[in-house]
Amino acid sequence: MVIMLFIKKMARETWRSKAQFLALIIIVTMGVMFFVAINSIHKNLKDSSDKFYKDRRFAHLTVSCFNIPEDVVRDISNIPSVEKVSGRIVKDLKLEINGTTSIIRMVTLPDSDEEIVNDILITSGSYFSAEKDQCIVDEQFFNTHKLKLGDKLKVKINGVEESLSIVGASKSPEFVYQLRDGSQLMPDNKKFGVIYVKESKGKELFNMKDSINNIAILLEDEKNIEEAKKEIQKTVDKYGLIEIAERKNNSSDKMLKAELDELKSLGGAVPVVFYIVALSMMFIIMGRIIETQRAQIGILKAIGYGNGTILSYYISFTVLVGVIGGAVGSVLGMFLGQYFTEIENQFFHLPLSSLKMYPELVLPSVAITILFCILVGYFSSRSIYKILPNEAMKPKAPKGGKKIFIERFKKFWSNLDYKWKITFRNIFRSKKRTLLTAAGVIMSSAVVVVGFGLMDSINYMIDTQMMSSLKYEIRADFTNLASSEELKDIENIDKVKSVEPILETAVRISKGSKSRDVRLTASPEKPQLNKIINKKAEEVILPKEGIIIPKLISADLNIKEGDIVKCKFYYPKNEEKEVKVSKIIEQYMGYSVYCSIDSFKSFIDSEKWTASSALIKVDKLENKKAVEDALKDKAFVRLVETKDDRINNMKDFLGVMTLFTVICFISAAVLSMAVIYNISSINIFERERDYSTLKLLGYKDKEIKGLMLRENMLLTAVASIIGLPIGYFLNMMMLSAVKTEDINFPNVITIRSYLLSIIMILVFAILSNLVVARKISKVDIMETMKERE
Amino acid sequence: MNSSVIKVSNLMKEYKMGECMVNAVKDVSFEIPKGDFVVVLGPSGSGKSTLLNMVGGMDKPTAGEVWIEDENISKYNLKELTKFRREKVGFVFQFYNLLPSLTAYENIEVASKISNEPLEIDTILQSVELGHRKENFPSQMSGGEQQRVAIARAVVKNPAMLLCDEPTGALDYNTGKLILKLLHKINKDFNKTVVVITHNAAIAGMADRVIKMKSGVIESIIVNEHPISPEEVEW
Repeated sequence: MVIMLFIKKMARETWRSKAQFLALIIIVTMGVMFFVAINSIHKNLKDSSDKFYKDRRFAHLTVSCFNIPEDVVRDISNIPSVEKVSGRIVKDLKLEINGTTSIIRMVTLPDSDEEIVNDILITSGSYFSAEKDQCIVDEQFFNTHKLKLGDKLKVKINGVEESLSIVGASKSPEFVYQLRDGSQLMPDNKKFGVIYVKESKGKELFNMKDSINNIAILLEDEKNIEEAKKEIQKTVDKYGLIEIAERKNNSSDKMLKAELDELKSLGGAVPVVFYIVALSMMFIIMGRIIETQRAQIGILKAIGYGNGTILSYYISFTVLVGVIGGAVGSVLGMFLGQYFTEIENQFFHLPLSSLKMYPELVLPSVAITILFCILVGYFSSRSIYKILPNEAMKPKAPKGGKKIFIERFKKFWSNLDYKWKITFRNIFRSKKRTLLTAAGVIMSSAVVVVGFGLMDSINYMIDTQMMSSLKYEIRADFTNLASSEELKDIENIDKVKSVEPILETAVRISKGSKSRDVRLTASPEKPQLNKIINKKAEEVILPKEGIIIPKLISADLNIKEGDIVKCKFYYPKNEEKEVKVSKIIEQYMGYSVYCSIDSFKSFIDSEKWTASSALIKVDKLENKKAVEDALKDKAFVRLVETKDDRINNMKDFLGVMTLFTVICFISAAVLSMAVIYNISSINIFERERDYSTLKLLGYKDKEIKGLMLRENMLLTAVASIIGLPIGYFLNMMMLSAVKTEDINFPNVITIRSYLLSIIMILVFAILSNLVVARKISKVDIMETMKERE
Repeated sequence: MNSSVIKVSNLMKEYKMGECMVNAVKDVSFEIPKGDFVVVLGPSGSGKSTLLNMVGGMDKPTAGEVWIEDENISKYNLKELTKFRREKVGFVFQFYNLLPSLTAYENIEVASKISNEPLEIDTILQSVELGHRKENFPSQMSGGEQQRVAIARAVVKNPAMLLCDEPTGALDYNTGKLILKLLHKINKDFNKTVVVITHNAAIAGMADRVIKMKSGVIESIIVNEHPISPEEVEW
């Protein structure tokens, strides 16, 4: 078979230029790896959560009331579309633990293990036994506070201290992402946890004999949710209904869904960028391989090989790259995906399945890769049709010795050193080679810029936005809404320079049929310690009346400036009011709507409440600790937090993104290194004859290398600069793909990043050139001169 | 007519070189009977390579006809020309043009694999006296050896004719003579028509027929009744 011969030919040629081949494979591997990795994370989390929801019967509807007779559970379970109902008591309590005050949500479970709605998964220890004062703690709280089985938790209920001994740790589908309420953005496992107690114990603790305050309902079919909701409403309306929340209103599920959406769009955008770069590089490199093998193609044609055979030879080369790159990429992607899933799962506490290869991800990505490789192979090798055997074997006629355009600047040109003249002539004369080299370098530098750009975005969010917004040192959260007397009390603490009230509460904003839980932040009209910063890093002044909504939220709810929206205040009286939207501002993060404290007072028709927290500036930084301690002693203070705590929390929250950025950056670096190495080695290979001529003329290896480096570096430098704006736009594309309902990442690439990108590309180029330049010493003058005239 | 393997009539080839048209071959006609050893002689630029390319189906004429074994190949499209080259022609070039990544044996195999009735590769390697070199790569062989591999590659397809473009041009005197001897032997032993293009007038002595070209036209066609043996050729 002639195929065997071609395989031998390919194998030997590939072996001879193995570094180049490897570089091509790396390029393809990167594309496939990213696709498989990111989509694996998505699938891992999605499958795990779906399974967890199903296994543990995550409620479709959750009814919260002030007090409901237990019998209602039976009434609800008689509604046709309802599959299962579990009644429970849910209360938020304060818990002193390891010197911090935490909020715990106490949830009751049946005394003995039954299949209930919103069931828990015991991860260590066991379910309740016969003893009364037992509790099960959610795994995160358990681990964060380094609790052990058998430890006692001391909970204060209505002034009475109760001691509960821990029998187990658990996960729950209800608290996959553990937020206290909709106003919270990031989980804080130190300060919020879920604790499960026996139903009998709960009833005793809260003095609720035959009643409950929360009902979790599982439907037979989620489609019937609207009807079921109506039926249930009828049943429970008279018992002081607070709300009937759908699964999608659950803050844990909401965050999970948002993350899954983000991963999905990432899984599309990032690999596409890598793919485009990889395939264009392959196209360029293949084109040049064909160019160097012109004579060989000519011989094959003279012997009588047809275009089809020769074409399929080159296509099979790209396919080989595709197959190897696809296979390696899939496997690496799988591991990387699992690694990322575990990191993501530090926020979403799902029971994960073990490392998994998804054929539905791997097969299409490998198939698409191979398909693209075939296309790239075809389009890059198509030029073989034009190769005439008789001409191909003759050396190409030297290009006309036309003057290059720089020579028109006579003064400049005549003062130029001859080495530079040669360099410029070479660059401008072989336009095709120059353009192809430049294209490769431009793309590499663009990708590196994206790598830096993503890091810049995150730094900007934290350093610029958060730092210019948060001007306080300590923040004290109050147990209940505080009045001005309590604020005075804080002001009187020694070494406190200034105090600013801030009122944060969850509100439900609705317009038309759309609604959404957000945080409402009320501040003085001109907040000094917690500034509201827009996208342009300008301070926003609060209007006298009405609320300000960030564009991210207004866009989601279709709200325009001047609209009247419904606003449901959970505190203090759970009222719904009509409120004017006075202004829409553009922010990178849309977690909160804003209003002045005065407006807030008018919304809730109360003059009394002033703040939910106080922001404190101390006179000297070294006094911070003292003030913190003083605050902790105040009875009305629930929680003391420093600015650093908050920033670290934010960093953790963006941690996944940061890690992703680092991986992206490393890949960009590897990709551009591969591309540049490839291009340099082709550059030298193509010019072997030129170099041997120079050798013949008596040039030393060093001088030839100098000429070569000069030419390649000049080209690289110029091309890497051209790559910068392209990187900017690429970064913009990436960021808009990554943005979610809540976060927009700013495209703020710093000068430093641009400079570093150029430096990185130049370093890669120098290294590649030095490696490749060693081949120059091996160029045999006689061989090359003899071979063709 | 059946006795001529190559018949060329009113052949013409023009091509563009930069901005002016070059008339490389102007109105050339001749016939070559089967089994002849033909030398096309002429200075460089006389159009002999262009002529050979058209006869070998590597290039298409601007006007006129090329008949090979009673087939008018000047009417062929590229695909048919490829098939024609595959079946009927063996080329030998001045710079050997072997595939650098294949061994001597494999280089010959490349040609034998696509022909209908290939000759035995080992036999041919024996007759070019390279049996011991078959595992060597082109870079490990001398120019003469490489050219012998190239000849073997041309012969293995068992083509109707062997077209050689300056086969001794890159070789020294002794090696050149060896190659001529080999071509002569193939001409006689396998009864192949051999056309050799050269600017070296001395080689003409061993030809059955000498076509002299100058500036794209045939100056003369001489039929040599008593060709000398390649050993006697001297330059």
